[in-house]
Amino acid sequence: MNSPVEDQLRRALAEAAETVRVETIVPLRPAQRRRQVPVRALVAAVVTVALAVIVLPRLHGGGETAVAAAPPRDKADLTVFLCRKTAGPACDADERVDAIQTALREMPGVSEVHFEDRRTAYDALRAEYPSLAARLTPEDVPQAFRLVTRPDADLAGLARKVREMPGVAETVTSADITAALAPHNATPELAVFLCGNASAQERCGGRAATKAQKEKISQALKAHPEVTSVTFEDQETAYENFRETNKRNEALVAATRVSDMPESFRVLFRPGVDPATRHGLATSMRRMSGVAHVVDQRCLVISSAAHRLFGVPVQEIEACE
Amino acid sequence: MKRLCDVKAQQQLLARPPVDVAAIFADHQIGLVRLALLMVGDQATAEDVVQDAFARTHAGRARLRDPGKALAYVRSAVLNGCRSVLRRRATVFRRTVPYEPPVWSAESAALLSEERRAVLAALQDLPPRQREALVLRYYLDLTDQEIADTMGIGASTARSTIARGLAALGRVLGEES
Repeated sequence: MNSPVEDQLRRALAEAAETVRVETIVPLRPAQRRRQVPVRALVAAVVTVALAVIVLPRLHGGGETAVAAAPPRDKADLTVFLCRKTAGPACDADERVDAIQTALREMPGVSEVHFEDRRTAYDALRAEYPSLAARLTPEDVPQAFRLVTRPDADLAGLARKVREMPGVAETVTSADITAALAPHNATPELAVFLCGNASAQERCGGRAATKAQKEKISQALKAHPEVTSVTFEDQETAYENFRETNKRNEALVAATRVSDMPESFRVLFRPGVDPATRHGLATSMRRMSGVAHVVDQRCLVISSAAHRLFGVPVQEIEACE
Repeated sequence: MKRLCDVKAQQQLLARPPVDVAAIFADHQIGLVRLALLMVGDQATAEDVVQDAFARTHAGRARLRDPGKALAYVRSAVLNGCRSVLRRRATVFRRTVPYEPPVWSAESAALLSEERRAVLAALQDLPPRQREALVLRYYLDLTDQEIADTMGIGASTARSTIARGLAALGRVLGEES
């Protein structure tokens, strides 16, 4: 059916196509504004540097206004965190950084776009929250764009559009950051949750804390020299608080019963107490029988601030000391 | 009535999610480089052609809404790129950067048998349209209609172009042997 010429052609084409060295193929790069000008850009950069060297001394620092400095982390109108390989291997943010930057610059209402790489972000995180940074590597900290928007910009709409861009993990507004940084509670509590009938913790063994265990825990807390107050929160109070904080999530509230709530001791410390002391008490409480788990609200505040400022996921930074 | 139908068809097209051309390029990059190689002869140029086509179509992806045509669209972008490369090469005076010897030359690092090289060299001497049609048919095994879509010509023209190209190829190879 096929003529000899057709067969010859087919084989020749197949063989020639096979000569492509697949392993050396450079991955495709998205379209960029300055795709064809690496040489020109280089020349321009050299010229700029040369000019700067000549001109700057005469300007006495006046040249600094030419490029807007990045806003402080807590002052950016919108922070855009890119995805991280450590959170999902499918993340291709590294290849998309340039495209994302171009897209952000073109969005309506955006006046400045500042990029922060992992290393810079990690170093800043380490300066601010050294104990958190010790648990993380630069790979855990996402790359970020900090945007300055025009006063009339629709921040919510902008954030929604940005979140749909591939490679973007999440966005944080300046209001989110302000809320996270403002101390919710000037005197954060240490919450010691007790085992209940439904506790999932292995150490509870499915048994609720006994009256004797509760008594012992309460005494241990009150005996601590830095503790100023110990309050018992029963299931009804816990449920009321839970309903109050989740009142916008009706489905969650409807699905939760009073008996699902854990009992807890709420512990307040003397103002200005050393974080290590809080940590020490939390650790010793975790070892007592009848205790399901211990949460230091101070850590929650730090976690949420670090999450908003550096894009580090909360579950990776829960323990804070 | 016809207008109404057209509007409806258009709405249906618009309702479909736009095709992600970038993803198609990424998925088919190797195949597209092979296709371009058969047209331009060397891998480095072939890669450049695919990259350029990708960069160009990436910007205008919103216009492409028919997923069935997406691959044809991408292939035709690559073929267009190959045509420009070959046109540029034809104006030898402007060429300052030497390109790799084509796979079908004796100097090529890729080792092909003498017979294969003769076929490919003969293919290179055909007019560009015939060459494209033959590569699409005998390398990619596309149907007449698919070839027509990719080359932006009618199906019957595709058919006759292939026939003419094949006949010309047969003549050249027959004379040689």
